[in-house]
Order: sequence, then C-alpha cells, then structure tokens
Amino acid sequence: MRRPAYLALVPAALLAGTAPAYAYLDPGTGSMILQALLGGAAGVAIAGKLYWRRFMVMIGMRRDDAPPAEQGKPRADP
Amino acid sequence: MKAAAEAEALPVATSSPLQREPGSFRDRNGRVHYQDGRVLRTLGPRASENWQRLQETAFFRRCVEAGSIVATTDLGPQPDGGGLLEHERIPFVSYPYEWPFGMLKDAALLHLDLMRDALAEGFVLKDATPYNVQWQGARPVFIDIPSFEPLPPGAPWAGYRQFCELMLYPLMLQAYRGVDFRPLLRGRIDGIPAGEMRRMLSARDLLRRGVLLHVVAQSLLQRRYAGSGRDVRGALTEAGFDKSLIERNVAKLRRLVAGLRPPDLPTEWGDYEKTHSYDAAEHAAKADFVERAAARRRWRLVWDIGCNTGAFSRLVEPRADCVVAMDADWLAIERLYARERADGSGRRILPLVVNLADASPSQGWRGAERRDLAGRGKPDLVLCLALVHHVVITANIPLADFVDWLAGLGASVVIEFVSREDEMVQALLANREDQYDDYHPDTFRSLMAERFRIREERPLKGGKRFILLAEPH
Repeated sequence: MRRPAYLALVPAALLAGTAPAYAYLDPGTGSMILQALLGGAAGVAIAGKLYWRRFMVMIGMRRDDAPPAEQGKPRADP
Repeated sequence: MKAAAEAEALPVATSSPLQREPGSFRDRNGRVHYQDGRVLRTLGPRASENWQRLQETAFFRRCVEAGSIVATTDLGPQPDGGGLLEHERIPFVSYPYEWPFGMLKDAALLHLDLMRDALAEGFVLKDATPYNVQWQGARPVFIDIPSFEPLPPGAPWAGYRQFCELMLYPLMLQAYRGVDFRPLLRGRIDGIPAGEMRRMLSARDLLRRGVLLHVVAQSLLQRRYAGSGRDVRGALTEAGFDKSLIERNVAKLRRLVAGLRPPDLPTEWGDYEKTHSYDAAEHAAKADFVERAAARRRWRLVWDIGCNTGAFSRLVEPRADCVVAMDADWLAIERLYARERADGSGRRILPLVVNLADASPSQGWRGAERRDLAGRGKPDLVLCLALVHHVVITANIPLADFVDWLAGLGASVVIEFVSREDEMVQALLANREDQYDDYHPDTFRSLMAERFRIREERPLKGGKRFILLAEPH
C-alpha cells in the first residue's frame, strides 16, 4: 500500500538530477553571515556588498527585494 | 507497518529481524539498521544518487583505503529508487562526552581534513557532529556516508555552527579555561551555543586565538539575525560567496584546532605507572596472573574498568578483538590515548573517560538516541584491578551492589581486592567515618562465590591484596 507513494519520489529525484540537498540542520543566519568574514579579504568584500545593498535600500537608492520567505510561498496561497 | 515496509525493501536474507538504530533519525535521507551483527544503511533516492557520485571521487577512495572513512559495500539499488549499504562494524560505539581532549581534537581535525578534501572535489560535509566519528582502537573513523553531499554553488558551509558548538567550543573551554567539556556535552546533545560560550569566557580570553570571530562575533550575529526570516543563503550567493571562502575558513580552523592544548593539570592518578604501590616483583606477579587469565581463550570484548594509563589493557590486547579501557581520571586516559596513537600499533584499545559511579546513561530522544555502556555491547572479560576500594569507599557503593552489577554483565572477571591493611585504603579512610563494614575480604569472597565460579586466587603484596579469576555460572 505504501510503496506507490514511496516510488513517486523517484521521478522527482531524477528530475532534480544530483541536486544537492540543503542540510536538515539549521545553519544559523548569523553563523552564515560570519562565514563571509571568515573567508579573508574576499569574504570581507562580500560582507561589504551585503551591507552596501542594505545601505542603498536605506537611503532610497535601491528597491528592497521581496523577503524570500514570501517568495517561496505559492502565489495563490489564500 | 513502517517496519514491515522497510524490511520488505531490504534484500538481505532475513533470518533475523532488522533492528533500527534508535539514534539514526535526524537526517531523513538515510537510516542505519542492524541485522545478525551487520551494519546496514538504507539510502533515500537523493542520498543514493549522491552516494553514486561520492564513490567516484578520488578523496573518498583514498580515505576508505587509509581507514579514515568507514569501509562500505554497495548492496545494490532498491525497488524504491534508494540504495542499501553495508558498513564495517565499529567494535564499540563511544560518545564525545567519554573522550579525552586528544580524541575530540583528532575527531575535529579529521572532520576538517575531510572537509578540505571533499571541497576540492565539489563535495561538502553537510553537518559537523563528532557523533559521526567513531574509533577503531585509537584511530578515528568517519561513519556517516550520507553527510557527504555535492556543494551547491555559492552556498555557505551549513555545518559551521554545529562544528563550533560540538567541537570547537568544547576544545576551547578545556584549552583556554581548563574546564572539563565532557559534562557539558553529556548534558546537551547539541553542544554549547555561542552565546553561552561567550559568557563562560573572561575578558582576557577575548584575546585568545579564534575567540573574537568564532565566539564573540558569532554570538552577536546570531542574536542580531535571530528569527529575521531573511534568505541569507541566497543573499550570500548573490553577493559572490563561493567555495574558496569555505576552504579558507576550514584551513584557518584547522590551524586553530591543531594549536589547542589542554593545560597540563596534574591529577591524582596521572603518574600512577611511576608511583603505584607495588614493587617490581609483586607487579610482575600481578601481571603474570592477568596475562595467564587472558590467555585462556580469545576475547571478543574486554572492559578494563579503572584502567589508569592502561598497562593491563595492553597486556590483554593480544588476546582480544577490542579492549575498552575506562578510567574516571581524564589525564590517565589522555596519556593512554596519546601513547596508543603514537604507537601506530594501537588498533584494539579504546580509551574512554568513564566514572563507573556515574557512567554515561541512555539519553536523547526516547532515552535511546545515545546508549549506556552495557547497551553498546556487553564484555566477555572484565578487568577490575585496584578498583573495588574506590567503588565502596570513595563512591559509597555497597560491595554487594557492585558485585551484583558485575555479575549482571555475564562476563569472566579478573578482580583485585585491596585490604584495609594496604596504605591505599588507609589513605581513603584517613578523613572519613568508617561505615564500610562490608569492606572485608571474607565478605568479598563469599559475595563473589555466590555469583561466580572462582577459578583461581593469588595473594599479592605480601597478603595485603589478592586477585581472583572468576567465571560466570
């Protein structure tokens, strides 16, 4: 009885190819940002970029992107 | 229903039922089972594809050959699109809260080395827990194959926080503060959070290597972005984050961890091998008794409880598949581990910091995720040398209770009794009320005779001590 439901996963996995899974683990937002700083000079440039974007949004030079949590939601969600 | 469905998916001849490893549930991509002493791992379809790619990589083959990744056989594709693997069995499972500093450090270094090698070929370890490292004697082995996954372009290292909480912070605490990390790891299955770690450090510690970034900055950033719900991963990718940043972080972490050393605190028994109370001839007599007892047959699993720096573990090692050498004194175990590691021959002695009066319990989800000592495999031989007086007098455990516990293991026992005339017992009694009426050689002998068959007895140290070989009824 369970097997067809189980097998239904297979085509999805094939379509995704060897799409890497995101970890089951919560990497921690702050810990992810820190990793840019831990990457040396190139990382600091990336962190700068992240904050520059926020700065530009703040002074109205750039439009804020929709928060990704909402991007992920189906649009027809009532 | 579920167990039946899983059993159906496994092609292994089912002479005995599959047992699911109760600690294997966090990652839904795979699950560990046991059958007839074999270790099997089911893989979901996605994990199975990753596995196919992983075994093509040079680093994976190299590490399996070198023994740093568990030997694994592919048992073929499964009808559900997943896979089935068989792993070489680890003789005795142990947990980081039983390891000396050196073992946790070597587990962390192995993890970082595997990260470095995996990254070079487009893979990453998606988590970073020391529970994924087990031991063949004093040699660390990485056991969690589905942890290796292809690294998505531009993604950060998802396991970095976990690496800090379960490996880096415990090591830093012991190295920088002289704080025993084991009770902390035993008390918290997920380790030490950055915020808490920060509060355990002094102002002076802020200047120590790695503290400002890995502890202080991480704790501040975690607090700042807690519950923000922003797609930081996407933003990082967009800003140009790439693999080389992880590689740099891993290389720097490796240098940091390699430089950590525990402060060399002398503990009560650390110098035992030089200062024990035997003279050379008596020590040889004791060693001879132990050696002859061990030579009676081949032993699958020996427990040396109260092993000190492992002199007797080494004596029985040639006759055993695995010797778990346990002592409450972490420095003694630290020394045993360092020696076994340096020898290169150390393949069968597993050194663990265990206080028998407060040994590791079964704990975690349903109290079954991590198991108590006997739950991980009962011994067939127990060495219990110069220990009983500590159990009865230092830990206040009634002699009959201890002998009962020992008999419950169902093993042969080599046990030494230290009488009240011995200076070691006199030192223990010097400043406490003597409530130990049960601590008497005749009581000990009769308790042992009720629960075991006594095969041999020999007096030691001019009659102040004696040693027994006892077998289960």
